[in-house]
Amino acid sequence: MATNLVLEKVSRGFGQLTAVNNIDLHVQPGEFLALLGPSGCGKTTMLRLIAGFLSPDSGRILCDGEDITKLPPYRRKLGVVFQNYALFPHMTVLENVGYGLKVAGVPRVEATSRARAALARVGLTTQDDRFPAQLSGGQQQRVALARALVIEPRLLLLDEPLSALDKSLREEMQVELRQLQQRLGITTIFVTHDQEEALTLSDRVAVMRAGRIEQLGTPREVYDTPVNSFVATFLGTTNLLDGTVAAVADGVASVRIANAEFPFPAASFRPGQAVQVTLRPENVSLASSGSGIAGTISDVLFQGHRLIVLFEAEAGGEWRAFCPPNSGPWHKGEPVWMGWTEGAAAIISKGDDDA
Amino acid sequence: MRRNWLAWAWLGLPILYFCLLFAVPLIDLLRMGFSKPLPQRITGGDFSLDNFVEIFTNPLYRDTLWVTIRIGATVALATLLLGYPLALFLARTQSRAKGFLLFLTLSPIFISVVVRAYGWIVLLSNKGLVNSALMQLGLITRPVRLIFNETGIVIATTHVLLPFMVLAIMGSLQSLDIALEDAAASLGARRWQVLRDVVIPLSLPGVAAGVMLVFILGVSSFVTPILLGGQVVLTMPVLALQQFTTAFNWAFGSAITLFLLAAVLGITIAYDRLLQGRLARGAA
Repeated sequence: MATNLVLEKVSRGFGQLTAVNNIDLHVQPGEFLALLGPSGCGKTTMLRLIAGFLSPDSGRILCDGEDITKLPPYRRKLGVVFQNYALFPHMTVLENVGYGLKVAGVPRVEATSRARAALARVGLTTQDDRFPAQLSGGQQQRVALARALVIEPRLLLLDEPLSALDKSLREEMQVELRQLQQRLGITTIFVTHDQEEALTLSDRVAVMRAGRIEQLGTPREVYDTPVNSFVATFLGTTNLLDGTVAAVADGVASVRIANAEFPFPAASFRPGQAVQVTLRPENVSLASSGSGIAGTISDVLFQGHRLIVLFEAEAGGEWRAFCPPNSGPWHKGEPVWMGWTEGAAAIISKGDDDA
Repeated sequence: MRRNWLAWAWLGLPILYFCLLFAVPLIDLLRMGFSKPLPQRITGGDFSLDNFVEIFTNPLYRDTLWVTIRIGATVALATLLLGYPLALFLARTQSRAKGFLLFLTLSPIFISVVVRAYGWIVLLSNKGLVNSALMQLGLITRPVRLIFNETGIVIATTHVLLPFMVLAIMGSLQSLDIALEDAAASLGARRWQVLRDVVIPLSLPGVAAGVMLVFILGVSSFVTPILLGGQVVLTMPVLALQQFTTAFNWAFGSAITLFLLAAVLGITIAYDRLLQGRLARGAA
């Protein structure tokens, strides 16, 4: 059975800076959780706290109910893959992978066969006697993964493991990593600043900023219904539209944006309240006549797989729409109306971010 | 083109300096070493192997070479044993006192070798601080002879050369990625295992460089051996110096110098060959 991990009110500071601020987090058994955020948001500190390389100033860390807060890293039995892999340069591939077994006192013959099995699991079978410096980035990555997995860790902790790889290899490794994790069913925590990677790989994403988790949810939840403009803008591109709640009735808030009103399912809004609406460019629908927000096309950019249509509203504000390349045709300077299908935009109450 | 010319001009000065102050004297040393010693001419006469015949047949020189190498090796070992923990501490400490501690470690460099040697004589003499303290504690009844013998030379030279060892080891420890130690710990290695399996093997290039440097400086030093050996303990540089300054036989002095040079060069090359294979793995 896979392990669950609980963080209870965990804080850690460095001098004046609070890198991790009173975080509560429950990671489910077998879950693939991404810690996502810009650099300096505290995601790596959090990983290091879980691994035991740092100790929290306050709070507890529990692994399957066992308090591991004060346990040194060598007794935690967690597999860690580092950003630059941290392979031992003076050991061969096989020695690297077998190291965790060697220090655990596993007999040499058994250790070797288990290390070989771990290497086979990550698809690296012919490089046993090579040194890390003789391997490609992708191969080093696999060795690091095998080395972390061979000790049968309770958790797998990954610190931006793919960031050093080039784009095509990174995408390939993402798929492999996900498949491996699914096959082993191991609870995995993955630190990344790459939003696409976080969405692709994980069951849930914790979007972090300034030592706090801004939002925790499935990739779809954090992408489609961000809780604030930080999450909305950090995950992909979005249009932030300013509006005012015109009326609330039957759990539907009618929000006035520019010259038009749009309905939103909303419970806790009152008329007259200023709100912000996040609208993904791919959800924008443009029409050359009809209803919606009136404006003019200020530019059209061709990107091959899509068009970016820049749209200037009559009431002020410039927004963008992603359209299929064969849609339109759209011409610069043409009047156009912008809208979206219901549910494609989400409301963010104003002032709950930029804290 | 002009730039190129300027670059060569810049290089010219060091080359000139090197030729005048290193190559020319070395050539002169070679000529004198391979010349016939003449009482009337201290720089020697015609080409001759007399000096080397004397060095290889008279057991005094073989014994002296052995003493010199023994002192050099002991000092290298002593600085390694004292210097490694110190270097490890200095490379890893987060303490604010780090700068000060580093300064303390390097402080022997800032004091003249002569002053330091006299300081050690004061400490180590029969009525010195060390012997008094040991007698007060009742550990010994009569003073232990700590100067005017090899022990004194080793103690003082270790002090003089410790900073070089610490700097060499610190260099390789500081370039070591801390993530490697974290990785080992996460795989279940205790602190001493991390040290044994990761830190020490990866700092071996620094250790090798430090040992080499200290050995070479140790066998070629003469101020400390003269002052703490009291001209009783003879090392090769002391013998050579005597030939130059009191026997006025520069030809023979040059031969002794060349002999030491060849011996040290031989040991250095052998040591380098020996380590090359072993360190290649770590350096790769």
